[in-house]
Amino acid sequence: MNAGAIDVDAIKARHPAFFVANWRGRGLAVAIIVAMAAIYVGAFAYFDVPWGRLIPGFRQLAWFVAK
Amino acid sequence: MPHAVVRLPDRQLAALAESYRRAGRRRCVNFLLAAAVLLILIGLSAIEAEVDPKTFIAKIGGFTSYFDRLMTLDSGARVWTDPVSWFRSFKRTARLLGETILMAYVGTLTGGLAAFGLNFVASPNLTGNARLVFVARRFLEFCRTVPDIVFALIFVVAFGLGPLPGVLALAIHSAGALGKQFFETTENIDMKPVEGLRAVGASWVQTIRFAALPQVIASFTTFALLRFEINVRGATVLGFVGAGGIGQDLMEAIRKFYYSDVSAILVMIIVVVMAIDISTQYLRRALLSKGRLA
Repeated sequence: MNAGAIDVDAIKARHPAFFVANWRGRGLAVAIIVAMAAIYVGAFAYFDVPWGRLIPGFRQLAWFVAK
Repeated sequence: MPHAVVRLPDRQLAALAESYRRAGRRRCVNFLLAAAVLLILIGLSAIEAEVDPKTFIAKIGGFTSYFDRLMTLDSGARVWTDPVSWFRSFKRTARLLGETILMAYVGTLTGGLAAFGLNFVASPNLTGNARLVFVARRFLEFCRTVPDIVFALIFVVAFGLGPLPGVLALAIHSAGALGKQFFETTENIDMKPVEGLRAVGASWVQTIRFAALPQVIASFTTFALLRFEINVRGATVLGFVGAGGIGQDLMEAIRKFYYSDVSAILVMIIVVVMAIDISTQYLRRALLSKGRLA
């Protein structure tokens, strides 16, 4: 953003209510995202995904689609 | 306060009554015509699909007797008289149900992330390039047009049995279905904040983050929760083709005629799906009443 042309401090002084950081809300959002990512990664570990089969699998898929 | 009721002259009243009667008759005729057309279409469909009411009536007994067998243990007693025997494989079923829910979760999250990225490209009000919009929309169409069970069948051939093909199938189908809902929401946002940010020289990503996202994030979350609900149900079926989850065990129990096991698995699926439905419904309502998340 072209912040150079805007007096950010003046805007902050004029509208302080819009610049109050909601740390509780932010913390909650970060916690939810971290929990979701942890479950996501944990699920892959639980599934015991055969990573070695991924590339041959995609190759087979490409062959299947080409046929 | 007294009111004077205006009484129309009889001649005028009769003309009005006649026109009202005629309109009523026309509506009745239209309704009968529509009903007749619908009945004819149902009849034609039944003939084309070889639906035979005689077979239905003759074999309805088999259907009810199957339910009777589902409710009977091997010992001959009713299932509810001995819950321990009925749910003898409770631990295994619970573990597989957990796997099914995880499959739905990973599939929804992967598909949701893909849909989230693509929806902004597929929205003409945010993407100026018409070709890009066309390509993104066609890709999303392809993803949602092919049913997830068909994707699962293909992925089982490629990646072998297990949850991975199911997760991939759910992810691709979810990307297509969510992508459409997402870009339709994004298309209808208020453009004033977008124009304001563009006017001060914000980049495309900044415009999306600060102008578009706050308007759509609550709707996106509710759509994703609804998709998760749908995917939990879908994941139970994917097991039928070997794509992991509870469906595999259910199919095996059906094929081996383990009637009480079939009913035990079905009861557990129904209870879990109901619990997920209720909790996601509660979450969706909470999010919608909150209005916005970002």
